[in-house]
Amino acid sequence: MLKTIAMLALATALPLAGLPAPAAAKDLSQMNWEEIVAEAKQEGQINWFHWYFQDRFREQVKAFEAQYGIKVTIPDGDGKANMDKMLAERGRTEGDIDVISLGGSALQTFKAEDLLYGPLKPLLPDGAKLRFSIEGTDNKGYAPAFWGNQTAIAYNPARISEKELPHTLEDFAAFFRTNPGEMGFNTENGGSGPAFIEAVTRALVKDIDYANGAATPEKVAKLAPAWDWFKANHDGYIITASNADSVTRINSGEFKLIAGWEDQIAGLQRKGEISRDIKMYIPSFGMPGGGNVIAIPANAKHKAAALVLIHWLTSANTQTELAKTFGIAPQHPDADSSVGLIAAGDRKFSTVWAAKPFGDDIKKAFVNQVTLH
Amino acid sequence: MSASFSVRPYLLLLPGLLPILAFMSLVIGMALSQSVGYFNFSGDSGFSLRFWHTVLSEQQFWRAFWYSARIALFSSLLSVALAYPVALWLRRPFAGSDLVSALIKAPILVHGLVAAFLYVNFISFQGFLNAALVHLGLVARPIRMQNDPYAIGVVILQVWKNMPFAFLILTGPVRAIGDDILDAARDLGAGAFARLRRVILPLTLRSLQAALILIFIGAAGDYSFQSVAGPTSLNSLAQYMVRIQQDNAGHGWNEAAVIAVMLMGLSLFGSAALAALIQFLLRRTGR
Amino acid sequence: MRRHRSAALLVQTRLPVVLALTVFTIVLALPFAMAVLWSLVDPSHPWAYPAVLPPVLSFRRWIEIWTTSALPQALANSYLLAATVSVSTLLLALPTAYAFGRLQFPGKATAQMLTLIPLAMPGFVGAIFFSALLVRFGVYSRFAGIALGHTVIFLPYAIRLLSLSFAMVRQDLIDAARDLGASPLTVFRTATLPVLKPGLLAALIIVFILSIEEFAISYIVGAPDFTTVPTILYSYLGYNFIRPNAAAISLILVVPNVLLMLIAERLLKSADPATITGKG
Repeated sequence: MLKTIAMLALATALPLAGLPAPAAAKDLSQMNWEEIVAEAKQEGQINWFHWYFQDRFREQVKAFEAQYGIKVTIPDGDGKANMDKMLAERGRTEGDIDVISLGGSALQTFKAEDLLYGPLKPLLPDGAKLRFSIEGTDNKGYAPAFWGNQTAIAYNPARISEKELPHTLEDFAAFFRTNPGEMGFNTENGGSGPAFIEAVTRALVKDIDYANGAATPEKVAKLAPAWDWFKANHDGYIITASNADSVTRINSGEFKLIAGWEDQIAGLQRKGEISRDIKMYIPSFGMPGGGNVIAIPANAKHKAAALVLIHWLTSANTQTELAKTFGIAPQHPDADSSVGLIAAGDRKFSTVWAAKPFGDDIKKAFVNQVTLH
Repeated sequence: MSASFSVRPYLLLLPGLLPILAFMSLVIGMALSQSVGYFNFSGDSGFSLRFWHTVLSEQQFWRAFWYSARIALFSSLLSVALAYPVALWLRRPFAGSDLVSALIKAPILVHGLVAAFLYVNFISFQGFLNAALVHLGLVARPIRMQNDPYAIGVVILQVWKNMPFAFLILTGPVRAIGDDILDAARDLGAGAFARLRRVILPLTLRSLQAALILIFIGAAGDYSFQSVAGPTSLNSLAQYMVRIQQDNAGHGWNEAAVIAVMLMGLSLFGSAALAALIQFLLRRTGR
Repeated sequence: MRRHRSAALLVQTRLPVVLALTVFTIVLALPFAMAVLWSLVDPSHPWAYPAVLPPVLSFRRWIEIWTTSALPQALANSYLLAATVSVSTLLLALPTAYAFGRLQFPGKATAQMLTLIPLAMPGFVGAIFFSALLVRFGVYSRFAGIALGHTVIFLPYAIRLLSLSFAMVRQDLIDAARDLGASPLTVFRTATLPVLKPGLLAALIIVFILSIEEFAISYIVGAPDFTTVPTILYSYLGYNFIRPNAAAISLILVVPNVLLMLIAERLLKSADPATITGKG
């Protein structure tokens, strides 16, 4: 809801927005890395707005806090609300957010240079090695990737054997017929269910450019065959409340299949929250994968400290650590690649997310046309 | 002297009443004016009925509207219907009645979200209920009860939370009914149901209406029970309002405002109509 | 005949009590027991299908939640808010409650009705358009925003409770004290305050609890980073759903409030005029 508040703030703040950011940028860009670190220690604290595994990240950043003596606060807040807050606060000279995690394609919905401090690429010691183009979005050096992830189908081997797994759309339709209510996916609170919806849409509606984010009513109307497919298979699947609800319920034996995030399931397994037996695969019609980036809002109060946190987070060491703890695809070339949950042979089925805002409209259309119908 | 004396009570009212009136008129005023296009957060502000037109021609809106109305109706009637027998039973103290009435009031102390979690946990696939059913051999495999499509869970939660509330409101008036009146009715050959309809309900009508109205308003505006335990294929009005406001950048506020006004209308007129209907039915059967 | 009758009476009174206890067990005790059990599931030993009971129980999760979740901050926010709200609500309610409880004036009934308006407002309607107002007036402090909202919506409760207390103060005691030459302060201390005190404390506690439990305003105005205990629970029931964690946080939200409420109820009972005049 804050997003819309933002429009108001935007109108009043536009004349001001350009001024303070470049001035501050000059300061940090004239410093060498030692001076930036010294400045960061001076600032002493940062607020990192991040939207998943906050409790686990509070554990992870202890190493950073010990190394630099900078206190990191990670508030609880969901991804959309965090972004809306950044938009709403753009009119303030100093906002509450120092560092913000964003989905890789989030920068398709706004201009990095309007909202973010940077580009960070020349400021970060490893800047040249880091990845600034992800999910089909080149953010021009403003937001390095720190988290690579993949959506897939998770299955519970206690309930379904590998041989029975559906791989094509026809398989899924047959599975839904013979196993009513045995697959779960969400539409709210997380992207794993929407990933499955998008995958089915891609497979059924081919004459749309999914890499083009423009959303027109005509384009959305073209998706109708996908909605027909979901309606025809209505008894086959159950809409769950969130990513996490799907995972909880496959763990309890309620579902044979769910749509899930590889990193979320691996992360929960490695911690011991859910059974290590749960396995994942990508169906042959593909499922989207990508990653998340991290950025500094233009009006961040503690920019130097934010920069040092981003350096630490994207470093080869931390990326190796994150791969070990959460099963992510590391985003630093020198980091050790993890062995994820998905077999290497399935990786070729990974697709790029549909560009936004059209990608968001696919989910909204599903909710309007299928679930609430 | 006498003039200032008469002003004094009204001055005393100010600190308590003024914030309430200011807050409520500002909030309701904001909702009303945004619903007709004023105070736009994006684009031009100005009188327009197009948001009303958009929302009221939306099939989803009416599904949410009637769904919330239904939940509110069932929840208020069921809560009150369950509260009466209990209040009557506890009319005169007996050994253990204090304990029983304390237990009945216990759910008031449990936060709605906690109640929703406890409920979902209890009926979930791995929950106690399913474990018991399977263990007793009543079912072979656990039954899926979470987020049931008929919103039985939401009504159960509403009644669980509101029955004690209705009990609290009714218990005083029920106790105040004199034994002689009930005895007289009994002597005249009135059965338990007739006594309830002819004597108890009419004598406690005001409290009955108060309980119905308060529960109806609360249930019509429900968000937390619905989002945790409600059907995923339906939105309650409050949930729909929040979703419309968050999902639609420019016009979201204005359309949410229309839904808000409709929700306030449902709360106000729905509960008033229910109270009036009860009164009418009692008057008619009372004769 | 007599024995038969007492047996029937026994069945009539005991059976419902047993029935009530059974219902209580099913609807309250068992769900809570389940929550306690889930909160004790050891974080590194999942309770997964087809296990019927958790494999390992420990308190590790409680420690982990305390050290890694935002719960300590949420508790601090909630309790600080509740303290601010209960004091400001009471201060605002006192004069009005005095007028309602002790004075007669034209329009009193209407004024009393007007104070109840917030009760008829659906929570999320109030919350959303209150947040719109905060944006309009440029109020960025979430603490101030939520505190303001809570103060207003809980005023009706405080006014009502305190009006009852003021009405219980006996005019003859005040007159007697005054006739005996007591100063206004002494009159207040001896005749008014003892009657008022339990009601004051009860109102304080009840508004405190209402504020801690309030969800709509805290959630809408506080999002995304100003968390209170209910909003953190909501996130643990939604996006961050991990059942054992949600169980632990549920228990943390309920237990202190139950204790506070028991105290409030005791205070309200002691406000019975009979006991007070007995003391006076």
